[in-house]
Parts: sequence; C-alpha cells; structure tokens
Amino acid sequence: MTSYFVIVGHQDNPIFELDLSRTQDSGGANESRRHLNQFVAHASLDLVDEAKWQSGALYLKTVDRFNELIVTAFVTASQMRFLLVHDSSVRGQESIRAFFNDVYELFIKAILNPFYVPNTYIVSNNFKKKVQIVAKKHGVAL
Amino acid sequence: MSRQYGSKSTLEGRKASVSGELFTLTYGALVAQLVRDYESDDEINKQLDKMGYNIGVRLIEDFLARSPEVGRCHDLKTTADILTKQGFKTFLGIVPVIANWSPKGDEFSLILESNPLTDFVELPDDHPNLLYSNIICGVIRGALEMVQLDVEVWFVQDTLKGDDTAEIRVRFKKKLEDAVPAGED
Amino acid sequence: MVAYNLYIFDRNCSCLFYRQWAKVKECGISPEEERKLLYGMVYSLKSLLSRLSPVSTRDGFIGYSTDKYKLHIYETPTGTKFILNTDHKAGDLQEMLQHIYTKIYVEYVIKNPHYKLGTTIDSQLFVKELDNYIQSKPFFTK
Repeated sequence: MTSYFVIVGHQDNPIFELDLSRTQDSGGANESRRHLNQFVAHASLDLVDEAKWQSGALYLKTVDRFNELIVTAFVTASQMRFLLVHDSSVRGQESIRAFFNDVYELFIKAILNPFYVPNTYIVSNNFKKKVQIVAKKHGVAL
Repeated sequence: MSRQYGSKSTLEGRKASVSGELFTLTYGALVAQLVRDYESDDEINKQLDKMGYNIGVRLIEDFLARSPEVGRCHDLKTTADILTKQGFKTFLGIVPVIANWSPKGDEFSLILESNPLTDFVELPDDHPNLLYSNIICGVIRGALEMVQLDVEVWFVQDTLKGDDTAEIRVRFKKKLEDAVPAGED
Repeated sequence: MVAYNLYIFDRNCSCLFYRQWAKVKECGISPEEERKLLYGMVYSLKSLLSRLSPVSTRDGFIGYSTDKYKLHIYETPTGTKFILNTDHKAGDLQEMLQHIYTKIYVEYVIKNPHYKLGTTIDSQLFVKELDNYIQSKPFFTK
C-alpha cells in the first residue's frame, strides 16, 4: 500500500515530501520503496507540465501510471506542483481533490511566513503535522 | 488594519487604507531582513526596539492629535487604560488586557490574546532568542517618554515561543520634567 | 484682530519654529535672546501659577493679556508649546492653536520622515499651510 505526497518547485526540486503510507516493511524494503516513489514522481513531471496547459483547472486528476502506482497532480497558480503517488487503495478522485485543496491553503499560509525563502524546502514541523491531519481527514493517508 | 485621513487639508482628503495582510507581511519582511543582516538575536531585538522607539515618539503626536480629549495622565492606571483601550485599538486594532499589577503599582502587564504582527509567522529554529514583536516595546517606550514617563518595556512571553498568550511587561521608572531654561531653578 | 507672531517650543526649551506676520516693534535683542526670554517667562509663570493656585496643583496656563497685546499658549501632553501673539481684542484661540497642532504640525512636520525631532522646522510646505490657515481667518489683517 502506497501513498506518497510531494511538492515540486520550479527547478524540479522537492519543496516538501511526506510518506503517508502506514507500513510494516523492514528498513531496507522501506528505503527502496521510498526511492521508487521519488522516481515515479520525478518521471511524471513532464506529463504534469503537459497536462497543466490542457486544463484550466488546478486539479489535473491522474497524469501517470507506473505498474500499480498512480500519480495524481495539482498545480498551483504559482506553478508549484503537488503530486500524490498512490495505489488503488486510495479511493476517490474527489477526496484527493479535497486533500489537494486543503494542502494548498496550508501551503499558502506556510509561504507567507516571513522566514521562509521561496522555492526552498519547507522545514516547518507545524506544516507537516497539518498536512498529516488533512491527509487523514480525506482518507489519503493509509 | 486601516488608516484613515479625515482632514480635508491632507492631500485632498485622501482616504488611505492598507490591508492587514500587507501590513503583517511588510513587518515580516523587515524582521527577516534584520535576521539576515545581524549576527545575534540580541542585536536584532535591540534594532527592533530602536525602530519602535523612533515610531513611538512620532506616533504619540498623531495619537494625541486624533484624540484631543486625552489630557495628561496623572497616574499609571489611567496611562495603562488609555494605552490599551485607545492606543493599541487605534493602531493595531486590538485591546490588550491589563493584568499583574505589582503591589507598588509601578509595574503592569499587557496580555495580547492576538497579535496581528505574528500572523503566519513561525520562528526559525536557529533563533531561539529572537523577540519577533519587540518593536511594540519600543513604540510604547518612545510614546510614553514623550508624555514624560520614563518606562522599561519587555516581552515576558510570546505565542511564537509556544506560550498561550503574549505578555508585555511595563515598568515605570521615573517622571521626566520639562527642561529648565538656563538661569532658572 | 491681528496675529503678530507664532513660536513653537519643544520641552527641551529649544525653539523649533518662528513665524511673524505683523510684528511692528523690535525687542532690541537678538532673536535667540528673545526666544530664550519668552520660554523662561512662560516656564516661570507656569510654575508660579501652579504654586499659587488656590484649587489645584496642576497648571492650566493658557495665556495673558495686556492693554496692547495678548499671548496665547497651547501646550500638548508631549510638552510641545504653541505660543501666539495677537492684539488684545482677540478672544479665546485655544481651538485655533489646537488646529495648528493637530492638522498642520502633526501632518506636515511629525509625519515627515525627513524631519528629525527636536530640530528647527524648515519645511516650506508647513509654512505654506500655516500661512494659509492663519490668513483664512476672517480676523487676519496684514
């Protein structure tokens, strides 16, 4: 079961990463799964950039698939890309859309923090906690 | 937060108002720049206090011009009342609660349940001693000095550091007198 | 009524501003001496008045009048003093001095970031506004 959320910045750099899967995997398997998620997310970026011009909406739905993994994307007005890499155990386009919208709101608040330098990694624990809460709320965290 | 210029004489009666977010972000940018420019938190706090002081000594005139009914205060209780119910209300849109009077009546606390300066703010971990809103202390000190009250003002606790409320302590030091002209006593 | 001249003092007894409109007689001393003398007199009168007051120790000195001229003083809680000399027929001018303080001094001097507190006021805009205001009064004669 996989659910991995990442925000990607303007230079394809990760701004924020969060593994939302609950897992009993051992350390090594965990590590390789993490790398796979990053890899799948990264590979989908071109497709995200393509999809974002074909849709006026921020929410782009499913943009890519890799084996059983599905990549769903959301692009903010400032061209920050929110990606969720998940398998079929995360159900419902609507709940993912609601999750992205809530994270978008949290994200705006986080970048309004005067100490945050735009396009750098968000280190705030507070932000992380809040993302975890909305992920649970919308059934995106497993 | 909105500022309104009522008088006709001021730039053709222009009404200027600034959104609260812009104000908060402007202050945030200022503090963030200070954090980049100065090495130690103490130095940043000092700079904020100094800026506040320079604002305070002018702001008090604007305040008195708006509220001509406010005369000279003759005890610290009245001063605290006017400071919170009128000063803070006019310029920050909040009314702090006055609490914790010292037995001698020369010290009190201002409890700020909300602080418009700190919306969105999270302190960076490497600045544990930064007093983000220290400018307020300077403003109070500057403004009261102009009405002949020498006071000491400092932050006791701050919501940004995980406390429930922000608390500013004000201690009365002495009353300042008008300068005596040369040749008089 | 005739307005002769106006002084503004701060509480450190420095004269921040002087303007004359219809002063006819010279005092025969240097302007600095004259200002010092005036401040000294106001200061002494204030302390005498509060000492001799039968009702309260607070002074409420608002001016004096001779059979030729009248001196009006308006003092703000910050210790700034506005002193205006007029002929003796003038009525109570506290409101007028208050207007000069709130609508002209604060607006054009205090709110000017280039003005350093406690220094001589050399703003032409302030002088212009002040002249306009004084001259707009029906009683003003040159």
